[in-house]
Amino acid sequence: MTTPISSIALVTFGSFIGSFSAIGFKAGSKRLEKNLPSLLRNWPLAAGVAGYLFSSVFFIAGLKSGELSILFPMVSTGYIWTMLWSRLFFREPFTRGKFLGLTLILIGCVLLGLGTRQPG
Amino acid sequence: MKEKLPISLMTTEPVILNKVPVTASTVEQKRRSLLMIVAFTVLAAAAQVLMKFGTIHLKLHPSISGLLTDYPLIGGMLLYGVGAALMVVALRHGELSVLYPLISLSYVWVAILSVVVFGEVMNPYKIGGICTIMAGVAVLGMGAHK
Repeated sequence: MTTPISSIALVTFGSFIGSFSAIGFKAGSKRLEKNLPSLLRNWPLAAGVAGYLFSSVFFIAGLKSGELSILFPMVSTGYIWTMLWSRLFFREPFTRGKFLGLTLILIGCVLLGLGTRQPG
Repeated sequence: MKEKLPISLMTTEPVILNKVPVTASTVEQKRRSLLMIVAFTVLAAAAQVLMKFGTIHLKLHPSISGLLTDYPLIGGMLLYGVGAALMVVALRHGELSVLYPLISLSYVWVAILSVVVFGEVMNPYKIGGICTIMAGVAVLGMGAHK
């Protein structure tokens, strides 16, 4: 089974959209209260959910063909964007630990992808 | 007279009272957020496998009724929704740039499930990938309490 480039492109684009929804989730989670009206007025959360659903359309379209274990790691490219948005929107500092952790995760995802291509 | 400290201050972290805003997350809250994200990754991996089953079903029955009776796909999406709700609550405490990449732990579960459920072959690359992701998650997780 091979994985078409179009599937990889769809999933990668989906993860870019998904990185924006993370901003909505974080901003929305700070406004969480245990009552329905406040939940309905939580527009950052709503925007996050909308973005999440929108990104899942690309994931489903991409996952239709190709191997799960090569396509799924493509989602990890979204973490690079999320780290950038975290600094821009929430003033979270870049730290050595974050770079190291994220780098390891990205290397791990590439290895997983390579593992899928090995015959046997 | 010995005063009893509130739970939020009974930590190994040095806390300077007047410098901590009222809304600051406690170490315990951050730890709970970390655990909730890990729980989310398990749900997400299970959802992903269900959705893959769903697309196989959809290929066999490519119609509206085929989509409406695609229970694995519907179930997978519902499970994803439940997981997402858990993730939103988890993101409340701690840094987004630390918590969000932890979602990559779901790839580890997916890689293992792909071998078990779909009969994909395990090899040194996959094992290396799984171990490297887990190391990355550990590095991020250790920094999460700060």
